[in-house]
Amino acid sequence: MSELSHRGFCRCGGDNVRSTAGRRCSTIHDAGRTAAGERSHAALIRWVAVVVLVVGGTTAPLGAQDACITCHGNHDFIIGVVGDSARGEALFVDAERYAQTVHGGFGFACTLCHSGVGDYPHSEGSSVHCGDCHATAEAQVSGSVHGTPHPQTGERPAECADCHTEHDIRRPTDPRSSVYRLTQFVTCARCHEDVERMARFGQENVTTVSSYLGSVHGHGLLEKGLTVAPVCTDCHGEVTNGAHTIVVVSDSMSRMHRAHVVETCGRCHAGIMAQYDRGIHGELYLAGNPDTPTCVSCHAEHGVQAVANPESGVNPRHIAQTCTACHDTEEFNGKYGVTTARGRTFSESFHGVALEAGQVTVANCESCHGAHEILPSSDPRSMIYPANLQATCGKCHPGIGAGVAEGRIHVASLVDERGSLRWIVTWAYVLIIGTTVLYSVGLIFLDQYRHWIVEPRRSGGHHG
Amino acid sequence: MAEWEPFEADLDRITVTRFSKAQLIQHQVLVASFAILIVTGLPVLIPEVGSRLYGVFSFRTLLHHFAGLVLLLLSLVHAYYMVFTPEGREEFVHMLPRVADLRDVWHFTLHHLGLREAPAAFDKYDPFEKFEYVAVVWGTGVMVLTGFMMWFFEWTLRVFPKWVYDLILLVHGYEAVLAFLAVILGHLYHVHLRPGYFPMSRVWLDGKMSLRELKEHHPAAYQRWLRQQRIQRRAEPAQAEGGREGT
Repeated sequence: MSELSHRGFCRCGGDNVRSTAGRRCSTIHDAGRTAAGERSHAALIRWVAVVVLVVGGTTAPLGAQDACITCHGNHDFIIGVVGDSARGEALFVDAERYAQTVHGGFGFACTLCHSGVGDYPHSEGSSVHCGDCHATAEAQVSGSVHGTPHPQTGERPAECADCHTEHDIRRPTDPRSSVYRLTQFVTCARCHEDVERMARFGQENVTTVSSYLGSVHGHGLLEKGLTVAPVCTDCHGEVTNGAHTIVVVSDSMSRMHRAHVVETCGRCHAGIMAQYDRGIHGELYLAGNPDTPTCVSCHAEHGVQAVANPESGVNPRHIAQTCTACHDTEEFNGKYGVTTARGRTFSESFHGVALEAGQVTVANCESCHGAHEILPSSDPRSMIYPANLQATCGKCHPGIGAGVAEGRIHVASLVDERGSLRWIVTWAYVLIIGTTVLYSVGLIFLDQYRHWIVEPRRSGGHHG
Repeated sequence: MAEWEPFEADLDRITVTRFSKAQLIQHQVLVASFAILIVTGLPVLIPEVGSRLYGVFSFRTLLHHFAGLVLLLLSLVHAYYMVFTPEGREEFVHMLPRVADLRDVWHFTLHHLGLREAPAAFDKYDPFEKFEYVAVVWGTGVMVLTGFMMWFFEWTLRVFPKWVYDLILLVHGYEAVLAFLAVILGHLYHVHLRPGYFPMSRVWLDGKMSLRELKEHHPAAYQRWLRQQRIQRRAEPAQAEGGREGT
């Protein structure tokens, strides 16, 4: 089995885990990044650490905390000492606010993170290592695109604090958290809509977040306030992990990689995924076909829109272009033995003309072929299986006769097979129309000839 | 020979009734429905044009169906007129093609080429007009039949298979083009645009034709109508022209 087809079967999507051997994908895939065993091990360590630190923190002399806050908690003082308002702001810590954070709530002392600062004057260059406690997260980020240093400059695209802030760290479920679902996009946009910053890492697309916010997903988030609306980290993490394992789409472990994207969308759109799987597109996808469309092929990615939205690629106004992007190409039709000119025969039909003229209620591709469970006409389950055509057309045209199944639906309007009835009728009319035109023009010629040539001659040049 | 011969000057003053009120009304309804059918129908035949009927497409369909219905009713009225009214029956006889028509066409051609002096002796309807009438009857029949089969395609497809329906569509489209070209190039030119009539013959508005026109273009009808005393003599001689009633 090829690697791709293997991925097609393997949908490492949490609740929908399936594999050819009925095993969890994590038992097959790279355990170093995804192994559940390590995760549980790390969790144990984490909780032991937390208990120790909480106990230690609450019993430690409060004087140490107070000592830092004396300077760093006094806004005007610290700015005055540093003499640089920007740096001063960065050094200021709002003690009351810190107390409300996860770390502050546990009573963690400043020196727990800032272990290397020493007494005043502080040593320069002391850094904070979140990974000392958050080892799993640290390891995950290191393997992600955010933790991969730039090959030339060595700059890491994102540090922990870039997403989690420095001192205002809260649980993701806390609405005040920088990674809270409903507001997470602000945090992502700080870098991902920053032209200069993205350019440093060779990224030109800086409209992903705004595109997402304008999508049906963004609408659900912003307008409806839905926590079930997908946020950046839902789709961009690795298949078995979340926010810390964001990888580029081309990474085979990305939730958005071709091998996983259907499963990712299917986590919410489970019913649709089931339909897709039953259709020819899904069947080919599961067989590892590299051409068959996935969700994003028709629905766009960040800018996915509801079907009713005219901007959607599957809106009645645009769906023909979307489908024919594949179904009207010679290469594709030849490769899969699909009939050609689906787009042209549709756009020249009454449905096609009416649709183009804005009558969106007329039939489009989806009306007859279905949306997700598309099946070839040879399949008895297909909406366009001859025996089902009367019912399919009858959805819009109640009482339509069974004759609709006897003949083609996509009828070429002009060019037809030589010798066919349509060909004969066409050429008969071309002949009749041509003769009529010749006849009419002939009469006009006779009239004009008489008027301009014959009559002046008869009246000796004095036509009257 | 005729009982009386109008003076040359009276040929332009005396008018004869070429079309009755009943005929004019039928013609006007035909013109209106035909124009609406062409305007609302041809665009759909050309996808590039039809697809630009933004926002008016369903209204177009409604209008096309309405005009089609009018044309159907007109056809029924006309059939009744031609069969059950004396006037219609007489016109029907005039419209019948005769062998002489072929000879007249040849005569007409030679005359127009200047190879024969006397014009062809057309009756009330010249061979071209007869042909046009047949074409209109035939075309209307085809268009109404196929049109209503398209309008009520749910029923049509209960009887015929889809491939026959597709032929019906094809015929409806091509027949429309044929009718359109015949009317524009043939009929409009023949009645309005040709020398002597341009810009418009008024006969389609009031049904009246000057005696000169009748004499020159329909000599056989002119002679016959004189014989039948169907041409009204003028009550008053025209003073300024010094014309006199002929006897």
